[in-house]
Amino acid sequence: MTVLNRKLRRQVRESRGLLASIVLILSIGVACLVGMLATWRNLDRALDDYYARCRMADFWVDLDRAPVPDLREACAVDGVAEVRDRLQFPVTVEGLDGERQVEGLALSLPAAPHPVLCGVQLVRGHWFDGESRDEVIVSDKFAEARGLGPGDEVDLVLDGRQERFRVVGTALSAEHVYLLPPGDLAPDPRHYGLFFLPRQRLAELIDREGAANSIVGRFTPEGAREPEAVLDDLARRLDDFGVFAAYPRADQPSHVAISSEMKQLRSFAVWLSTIFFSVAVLVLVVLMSRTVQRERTLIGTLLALGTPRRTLALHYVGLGLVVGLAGAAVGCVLGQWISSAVTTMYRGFFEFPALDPRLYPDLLALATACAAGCAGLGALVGMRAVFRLRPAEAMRPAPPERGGRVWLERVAWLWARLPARSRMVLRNLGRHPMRTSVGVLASALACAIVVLALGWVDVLDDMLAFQFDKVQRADVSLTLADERDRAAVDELRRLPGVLHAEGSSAVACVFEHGARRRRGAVQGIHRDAELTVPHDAAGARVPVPATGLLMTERLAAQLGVGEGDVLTVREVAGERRQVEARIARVVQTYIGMAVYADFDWLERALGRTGTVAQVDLATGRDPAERRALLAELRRRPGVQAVQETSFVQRRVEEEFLDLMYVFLGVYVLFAGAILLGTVLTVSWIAVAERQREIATLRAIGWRAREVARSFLLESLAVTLAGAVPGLLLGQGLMDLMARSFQNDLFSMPSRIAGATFVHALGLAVLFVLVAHALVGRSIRRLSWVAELGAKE
Amino acid sequence: MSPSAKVLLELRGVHKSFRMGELTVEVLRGVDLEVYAGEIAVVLGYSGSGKTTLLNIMGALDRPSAGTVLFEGWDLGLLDEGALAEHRRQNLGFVFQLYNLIPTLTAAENVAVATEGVEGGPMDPREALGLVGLAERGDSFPAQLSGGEQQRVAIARAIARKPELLLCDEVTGALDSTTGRLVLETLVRLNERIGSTIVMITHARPIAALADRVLRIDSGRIVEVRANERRAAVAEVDW
Repeated sequence: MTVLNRKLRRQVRESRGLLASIVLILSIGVACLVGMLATWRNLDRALDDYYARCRMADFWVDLDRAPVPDLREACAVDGVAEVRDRLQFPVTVEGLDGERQVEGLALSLPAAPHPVLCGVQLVRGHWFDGESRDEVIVSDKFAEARGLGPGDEVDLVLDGRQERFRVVGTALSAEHVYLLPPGDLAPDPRHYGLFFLPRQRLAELIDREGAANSIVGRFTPEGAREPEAVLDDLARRLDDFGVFAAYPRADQPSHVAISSEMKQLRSFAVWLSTIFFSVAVLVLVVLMSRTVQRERTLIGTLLALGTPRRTLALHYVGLGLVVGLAGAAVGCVLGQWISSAVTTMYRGFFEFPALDPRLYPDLLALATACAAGCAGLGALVGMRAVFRLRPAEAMRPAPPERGGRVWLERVAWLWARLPARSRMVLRNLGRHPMRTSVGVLASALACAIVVLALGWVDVLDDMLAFQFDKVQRADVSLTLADERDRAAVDELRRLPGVLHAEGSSAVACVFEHGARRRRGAVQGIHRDAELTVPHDAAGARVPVPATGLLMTERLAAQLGVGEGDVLTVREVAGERRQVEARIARVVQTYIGMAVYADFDWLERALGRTGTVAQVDLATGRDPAERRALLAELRRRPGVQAVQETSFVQRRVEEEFLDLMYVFLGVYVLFAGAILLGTVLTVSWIAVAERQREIATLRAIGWRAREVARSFLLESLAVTLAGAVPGLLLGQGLMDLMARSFQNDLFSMPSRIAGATFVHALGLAVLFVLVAHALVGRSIRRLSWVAELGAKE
Repeated sequence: MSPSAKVLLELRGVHKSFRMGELTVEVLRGVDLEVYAGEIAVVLGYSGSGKTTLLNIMGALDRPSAGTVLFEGWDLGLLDEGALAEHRRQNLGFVFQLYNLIPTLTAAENVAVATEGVEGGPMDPREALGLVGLAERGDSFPAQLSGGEQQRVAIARAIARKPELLLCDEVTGALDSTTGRLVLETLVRLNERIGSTIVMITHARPIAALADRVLRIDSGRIVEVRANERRAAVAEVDW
């Protein structure tokens, strides 16, 4: 071992506390990169494998009803490689207890187990053997939640007909990795499942023999390049069969859910690790510049003795590399643990046949290279100043540091009122602009991360409050199996426990504005409706206009329309009438892309007569009465689905809040690591540099805690200076995130509550206090009496 | 100084030893001494004789390994660290060989940092600087002052709190003789004008002529205590 290497080893040992704080920051950067990217890869592999095994489709078209031969002919368009027509139908399950109606989706499968687009993977049991007419394959998660298995029986109600089925197997379906019940915000495997039936059997039950109401297909490579154009063409050809929706995989609900999660993982991995690596580089610059300044005369002497600059430079870069490699080692272990934990957590969230955490050596190598590169860079930049000196100059001690005035002194009346100890704090900050800037930056980034993490709770609260307290105010919403007249609403209004009932219509349609077309639905509501109340983005109630539409902002943006513009609304089923409608106002919804119109105007415009598709109920608060009412509603013929708003909200909280709190906790700890690492490094360096000052203050009667308080004030001043831009940055990032994660199914608000900023600030201060518990200990342990007479 | 004068500080049988690896070095070996109110006492000793350790114990910067230190009759050994700090803050002033000024504070602020929160009406920093002849340099930073000026700022800092006892460690050690003389004149003037009790520790024998009493320390023991018949003027002293 060379002498310089021995010196390096001793230096690492002596400065282990300081180096550990930088290792902490680097290791979190590495952990973010490894943890999140490995999780992303785990999901990506599992998804690819699953999609390949189940032959996942590239696009979906939901229809009213189409004869199979006509359908196949219409699907022969350029860009479409293959299609599969099938049947799907909503189903209710009888005889199973639950807090809400047990529902599901019945889907057709071929009678024999041959590979088809959007096929399934059997988990338990076997395929239909064709010997009896009561065979059903049930989605595995529903079966698990309900304790069902092969041989068990379930009673399914399809199109008003109740039949008993025997479970022959349980299966997973790649197009339902994330299965949301209609109108819900979270999966609910206990109350919503998939029921696969042989095609012919399902056709008989729902009276669709020789017909299909769903198409799944794959694009040709050329078609895949222009999926929107191909789908548009296909939808036009299928128009006669009533196209409710036509969407590519990118808009398929389950795929949207998992791909947004993956997108979030990947972008968080990149920007979080970038933050940590950047802070680590800057903190290392501070540390290395202090180290080489302290060893300035030694460096000068070694240079004078003929040691090559490169050898010396490598020695100091070596110190950086030790930090980098230590950070990489700790970070890789932590990252792998995070990846395993998060991947395991995702197993409960998404339905995969196999989702296992794996080790990715290339990822570990990449993260190690990043950490070592950042540490080396920090070391190089930090030592630059001393290495520029000539040996003779370097051998002389550095000139004593000068006290200087700070800009605040220009505000004379304020400065004159500050005690000397506060002036000392401010001048110390002004004397080390690099250090202060690093502290401010670290604080800003840490506060931004905390705001972003805590802000998710506000976003979810805002979203639920907007959607369920302002817009969808019904206690119970009923979806009717067939459209009924208004008498159905009066009938429901008379049920015990119902305080108020409002019917609304739903018209599936195509909106056309110039060359832009979007499929959706118009909900016809009464102008005095109190249970469905459109609101604008500012949260103000928007009255239903006598004519024209209220359109959700996202859909209006997709169609390129604004208030006052006129577009074409064309029914996709029934009479297929069309009407020119003016956009009266643009409104806000966070779930789905609602379009509202006056019930009577919509009926008149489309030549309909008082058809009600959904009924909203306001109910009494008595739980027993509510239970009896729900039971009655579920028993009523013609009621397809009963949705209890409070249950939907509760499910969201149960499903998302735990996951959110885990991420929130992790991000807050990450932010804490930035602040801890930076404050510790900067403060410990300051303590080391100002030992004589500390000794003098102690000698003239300052207690250790008073000295420590002065260092704490410096850190707090820096942290607060960074906190203000940090809090704003957090809000900016939340806005950015809200914009990047919105899709046809959801959008999210991005307003962060004032209290969250206060909490973020409080947490930042808390982390500084934790760091200063250690700094204070160093000050108490300082042999200050010896420092009084020590030469500088 | 007459034996009837008030004893401000008293050391009885003070020992101080340090562990240096496996060795125990006994620096003070049973020191007995008194410091009387209003006097200038010079502790004279060679390098390594234990004089700085003695000053540290007199100034409550360190605790003796054995023996008793009484300040105005109070046993300092009974005080905890916080009370000792308060004792230093309220009763003592220090002037160090290397000035120990805080580089980020101006001269006036260096004085103010010692007087903030001190009871008993400390001097205004400008007044203290005036006493050491630096009234005009209050806004200068230490790096803008000469060594002598820095040392006088340190003296101003020490006396601004109107301490009972001023402890000076080799105050001229880092200064040339002209500047050193200026510093000594300042100290003598303070003793004469405001009655500050001053203990100066030095290895420079001629400075002993300025004192009321001279205590010679050697190998950790006070080997000689003598009273000067008269205090020499600073101008008469040469070193």
